[in-house]
Amino acid sequence: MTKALLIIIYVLIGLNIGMFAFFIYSFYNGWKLRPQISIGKKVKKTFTLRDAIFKERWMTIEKQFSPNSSESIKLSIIEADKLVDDALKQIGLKGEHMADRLDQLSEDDIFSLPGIWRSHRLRNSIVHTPGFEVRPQTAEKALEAYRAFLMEIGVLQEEIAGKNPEY
Amino acid sequence: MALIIKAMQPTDILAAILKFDEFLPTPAREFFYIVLLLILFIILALITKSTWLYYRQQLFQNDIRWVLAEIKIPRTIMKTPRAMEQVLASIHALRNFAGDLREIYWDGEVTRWYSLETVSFGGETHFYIRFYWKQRGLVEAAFFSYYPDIELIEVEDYISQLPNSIEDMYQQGYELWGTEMTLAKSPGYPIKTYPEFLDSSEEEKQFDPMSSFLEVLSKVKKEEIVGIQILAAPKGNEWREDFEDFVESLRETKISVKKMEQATPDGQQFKDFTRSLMRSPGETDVLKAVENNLSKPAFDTLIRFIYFSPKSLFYDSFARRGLTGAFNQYSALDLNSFKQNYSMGTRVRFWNWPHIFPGLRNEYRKQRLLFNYRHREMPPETWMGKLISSKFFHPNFACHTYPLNTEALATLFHPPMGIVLTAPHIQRIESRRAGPPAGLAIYGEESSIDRFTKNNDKDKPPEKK
Repeated sequence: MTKALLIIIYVLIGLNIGMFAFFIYSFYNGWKLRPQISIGKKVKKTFTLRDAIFKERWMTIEKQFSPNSSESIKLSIIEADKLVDDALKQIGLKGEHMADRLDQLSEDDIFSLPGIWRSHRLRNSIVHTPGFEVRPQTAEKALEAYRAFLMEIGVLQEEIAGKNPEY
Repeated sequence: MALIIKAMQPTDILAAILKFDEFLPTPAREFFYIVLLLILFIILALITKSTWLYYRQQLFQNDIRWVLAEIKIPRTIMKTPRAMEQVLASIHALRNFAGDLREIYWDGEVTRWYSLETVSFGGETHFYIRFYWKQRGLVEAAFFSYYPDIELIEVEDYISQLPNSIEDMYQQGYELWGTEMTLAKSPGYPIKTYPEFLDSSEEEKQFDPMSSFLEVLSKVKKEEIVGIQILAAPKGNEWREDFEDFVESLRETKISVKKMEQATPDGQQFKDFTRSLMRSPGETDVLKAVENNLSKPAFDTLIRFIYFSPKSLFYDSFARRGLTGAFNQYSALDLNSFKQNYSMGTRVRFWNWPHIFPGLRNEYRKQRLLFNYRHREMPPETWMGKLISSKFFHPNFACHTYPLNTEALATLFHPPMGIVLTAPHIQRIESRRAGPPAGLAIYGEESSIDRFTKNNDKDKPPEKK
C-alpha cells in the first residue's frame, strides 16, 4: 500500500520535472520572439539646418531692417551674411573665408549662387570701404538674394520666410 | 523574545520545516504529498500551455505575408456606408481559425486580421487596407462588387518612411503622440451607426461621419503625419452568445420593485408579469438597439492612432482633442461611446499610478505604440504572452480588443460619400471605369495577354518584412 503510494509520488515528481523543463523550453522560445521594445539611450538630436535658431535669427534680421536708416541697412546685410556663412559651415564646407566656402559650390547645384556672390561683395564693400553708402533698393535686393539662398538649401521654409515679405 | 531568537538557529528552522509532516500517520502523509504534487502539476501545466501557445502563435504571426493596398476613390461615390457593410460582411467570411488540436497547439493559428487605415501625410489623406497576400483576389472581389469605381492599388508600405524607433525619431527631430480607443461600456451596446446619420432621404439632411476625420486630417501641417489604424479580426458568429445574460438583464425593467409591491395588493405573479410590460420607452429602444447590434457578424477591433510632428510644431492637443473629438460623433449616451484607453496613451504624468518614473514610462509607451503601429500588432491572446511581451516599466496588459459588428465598423471606415466635400484633400480617380465588352475577338495566345489581365507578381508572395 505505502509502496504503491510512493511509486505514485515518484511518478508525479517526474511529471512535474518534465513539465517544468517543457515550460522552460517554451518560455525561452517565446522570449526570443517577443516584440523588441527598447527605448535605447537618450541621444542628442543631430543638429539640422531646419533648426529654430536659424529661423529666429533670420526673423530678427527682417525685423530690424528699416529702409530709412542707413545704419540698419548696413547692419542687416552684415548680419544676414554672417547667418549664411554659419549655414555654410553647418553644411560642412571648409575654408578660411566665406568666399572659400562659396567657391566650393557650383552654380549648377545652387540656383541662387550668383545672387549670393553679389550680396557678399556688397557686404565686403560695406565693411572695408569707409563711408560706403547703400541705396535701400540695393539692400533689399541683397537681402532677397540671401533669403532665396537660405530657402534653397532648406534653412528657411515658405511660411516663415513669406511672413514678412516687405523689407 | 531575544532568548527564543537565540535558541532558534537557521538550521533548526530548516529542520523543523523539513519535518513538518511528522505529525501525519503514514498513509495520510503520502496522500498529502500526492495532492500537493497534483496541484503543482496542474498549475505548471496551465502556465506551460499558455507559454507554448504564445510561442507557436508568434511563429505563426511572423510567418504571415501581408499586402498593403491603397484604396483610390473616384470623384463621386453615391454609395452609403451600407455598401461598406456588405464589403465587410464578405471579408468576414474569409475568416480562418484554429479548428483542431494540431492547428491550435502546433501551428498556433490565429485569425488573420485586416488593417483599415486612414493616413494623412501633411494634409493629404490616403486610405489603405492591409490583408493576407493570398486573399488579394477575394478582397478585391468584395470591394469591386459594391464599389465598382474604386481601385485597389498595391503600394509600398508607407511605414518604411516612419522612424524605426523613438531613438531614430528624436534624431530626426520628431515627436509623437498616440493612443488607442476603447469602448466606454459593454460591447453589447452599439455605438451610433450610419443609419442615424442618414435617416433622411434628402441630401441636405444626410451626414457622413467620415467628414470630421477628413477635415481634421486635412488641417495637418506639411511636415506632420497622422495615422488612424483600425485592426479588425473576424470573430466567430458565436460572439453573441457571450451577451445572452446581458440581454436578459436588459429585458427587466429598472423600475423600483418596492414601489410596485406597494402599489399592487397581491404580489409576486402580478409583479413578474408587469415587469416585462412596464419597460420605459427608452429601455425598449436600448433593448432594440442591443439586439440589432448582436444580430450582425462582428470583428475583434482595435483602434490606434499616432501623430508625428517636428518638435517645433508639436502640439499634441491637435491630435489628442481633435481626433478623439471626431470619435465623439459615434457616442450615444444611453448606448455606447468611444473613450481613450488611457493606459496606452503616451501621456504619463506624475499623478498617474504608480507615480514613479513618469518620464521613463512615457518613453516606453511611445516605443510600444510606435512598434505596435508599425507592425499593426494585435495584443497577445494568452496571459503568459502578455507577461513575456511586457517590460519592467511597461506591462503589456492594457492593450485589448473589443467586438464591433460590421455596421459599426462600416461607419468608422468607408470611402467618403459624395456629400463630403473633400475635393482638395484626397487624390481621386478622374474617370469612371468600365470593362471591355465580353466576347471580343482576341488574336493571339492566352499567354500574351497575361500581362494585361493580371498583375505580374500577383502570384508570388511578397517579401518578408
